[in-house]
Amino acid sequence: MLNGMAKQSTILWITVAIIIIVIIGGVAYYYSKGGKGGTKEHVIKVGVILPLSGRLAETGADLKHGIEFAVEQINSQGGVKSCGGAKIVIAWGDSAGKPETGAAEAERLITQEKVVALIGAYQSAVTKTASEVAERYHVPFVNPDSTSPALTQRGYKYFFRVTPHDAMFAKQQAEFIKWLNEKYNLGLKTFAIIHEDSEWGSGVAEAWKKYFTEAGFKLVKEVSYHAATVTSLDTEVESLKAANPDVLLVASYVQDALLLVRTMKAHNFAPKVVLAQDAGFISPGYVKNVGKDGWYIFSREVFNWDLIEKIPRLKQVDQEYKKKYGVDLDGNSARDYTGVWVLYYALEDACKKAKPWNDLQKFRDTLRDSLANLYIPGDKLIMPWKGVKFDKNGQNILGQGIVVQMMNDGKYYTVYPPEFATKQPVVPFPPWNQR
Amino acid sequence: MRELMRYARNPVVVAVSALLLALPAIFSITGQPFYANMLFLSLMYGVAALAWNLMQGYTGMFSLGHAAFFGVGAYTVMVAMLYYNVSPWIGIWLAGVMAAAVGFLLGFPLLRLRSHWFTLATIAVGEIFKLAFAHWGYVGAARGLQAPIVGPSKALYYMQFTGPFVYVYVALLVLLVEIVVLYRIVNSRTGYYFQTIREDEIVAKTLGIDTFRYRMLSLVISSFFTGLAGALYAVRFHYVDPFAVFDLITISTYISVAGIIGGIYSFIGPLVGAFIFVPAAEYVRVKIVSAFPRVFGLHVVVVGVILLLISLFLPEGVMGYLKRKGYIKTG
Repeated sequence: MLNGMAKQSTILWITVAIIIIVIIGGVAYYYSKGGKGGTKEHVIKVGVILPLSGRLAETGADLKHGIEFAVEQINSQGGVKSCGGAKIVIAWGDSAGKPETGAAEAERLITQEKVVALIGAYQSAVTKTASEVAERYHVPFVNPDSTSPALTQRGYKYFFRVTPHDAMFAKQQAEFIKWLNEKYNLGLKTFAIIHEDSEWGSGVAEAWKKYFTEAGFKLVKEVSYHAATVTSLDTEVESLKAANPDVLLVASYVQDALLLVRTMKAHNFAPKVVLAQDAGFISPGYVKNVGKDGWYIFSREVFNWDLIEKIPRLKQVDQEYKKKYGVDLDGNSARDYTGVWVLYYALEDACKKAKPWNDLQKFRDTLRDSLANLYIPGDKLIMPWKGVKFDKNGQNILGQGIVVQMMNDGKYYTVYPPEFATKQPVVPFPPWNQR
Repeated sequence: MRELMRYARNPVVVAVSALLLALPAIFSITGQPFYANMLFLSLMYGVAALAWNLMQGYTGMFSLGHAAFFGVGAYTVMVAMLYYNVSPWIGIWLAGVMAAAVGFLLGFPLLRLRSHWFTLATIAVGEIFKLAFAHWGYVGAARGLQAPIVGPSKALYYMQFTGPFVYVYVALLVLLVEIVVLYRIVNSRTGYYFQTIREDEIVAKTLGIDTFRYRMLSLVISSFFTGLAGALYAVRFHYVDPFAVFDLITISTYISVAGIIGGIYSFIGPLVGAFIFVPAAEYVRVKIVSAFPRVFGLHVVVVGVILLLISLFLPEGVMGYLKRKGYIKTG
């Protein structure tokens, strides 16, 4: 049914379409060649994916400072020396806190910016998809800050997690209770758990049950509640009190942590040890409002202000950091700062065998091997760790948490492990009327 | 079908189609996954927005809960692949069927409601699905599901490709199927019934139209294609979690915003809207965040202002505006 005119104009339009496509293709090709990306000059480009917008933008901005600060220090002391003093340059990617955006940014940084490695991405969900992209492209992914245990159970070869994960923390908490028994002869035998019922709280409770039972403690009671809607914890605290545990383990967010502590006081429930899992218990909102009801409660942490006294390197780094950004390093910025240094040590090793500007993919593979064989002793780090050494799943096995206790000045002090402790723990938990 | 074939000879349609077919290949050759991904996301949201508009533009049911169907679709393709070893090439269509089934069941309570009450109920439905999936252990609860990386010999079966390029073609295939099906529906007797219900449900009833049945039909078809869009998400990112695929803002609201920008009284408008809104929102975010890194959420304000301007000056959407000005006659 095509008449001549229509046929002609169709052909004309197809020709126009082809011309447009060719022009766009040419422009795109020109840009990809002439390029922003590439490693022409002797610089080493590293991609960083963080939540710079979205709900966690504020945390993302702090993490960014930690990274920038480490890069500045490395570059000012002569860059990567075995690569001829090449400077490290960061190509930023914003995950917006979304797994799909994180994955797309990983693709862009790898193929368009041609980075040698990726660092990121804070939220476990984003780390999951971004590191999957890196694994596909055979690009090393250094993860300084996500704690979901599942991340290092995927059998990836290019994934390296520097921070300890949630299951390691649970195991360490069981060791802490054993240590209290040995050192202070408390005779702690039984434990109870109260946790909020989201993914995080339930996961933590699972890990506690596993590692505390393995360590020989007996579970006498487990209760959970929904943090978003909870208005009273009276029944929960009553049932915990009836079970009479030696140790109470708590996984709470902010408001529910406050509610729990006050309800425990009201019901005069004082187990020998109360041990929380950071989150609510270390948030500024909790610390400010809890007053003396919060004294002598323990919490697991990754970092604490008083570590400055114990880690000489940290004191100096923190002073310079504070001068630049006006705040102290915290658990997040310190871990991302450390992540960059871990990558730096691996780069020094990889550069002895290959150069990124000769063959980028070969360099990425070499860098992967360097990371897999890396050992950094604890005294080179600002974290309270024994060092950095990755197992075959890419998990740093020398990392650890610390245990802090709020003392009667309303501040948290490190009490465990002993080599980082600035105070002796106050045990057992004193009765509510004696403070 | 003859109508559609006439479009196939329309020079603009031919040019745009040729461009869409060629761009992924060009991006692939020149190594530009960022733009290919943008194209993919525009297509994915376009598929969902066209489906959403069958309810809004044609049947007069304003939904802000399409994330429920999107999410169910995304989960279906992942569960079928991970637990039953079903190839995503089949799983995508299963996702549509599952989403349609969910739409059908939800129709019984939802369709009792009208106008803003209906809209409020759909918001609740989306949020309920998010919470339910976040606590459902079988589908990984809040952790979600991630497909393991398979070797090259199984990559085709499990639809695992490096980079976004191939997925753009998958999205184009889904879009083509959707356009053909929806176009035939809206230009059939059923489509006219939908529009009669939109204009006045009582009049429709007086004319003997079983309004419940046709509103249900509109909902089921709409959820089917929204489920396909969700499946595209899951196969592209090999990943699904409740907060990503059931999100009230980035799924439900984005879909309807794309539809409204493009023009709800235009068949192709929502697709055009997705191609305007998705890249624009992304562009604004990238530019604003790098220019003002510590002014959190500024990009959302900018997008909000743009939307405000559009609703003030183009209340009938881009396609509606073009039609009013006489630049296009149909579409």
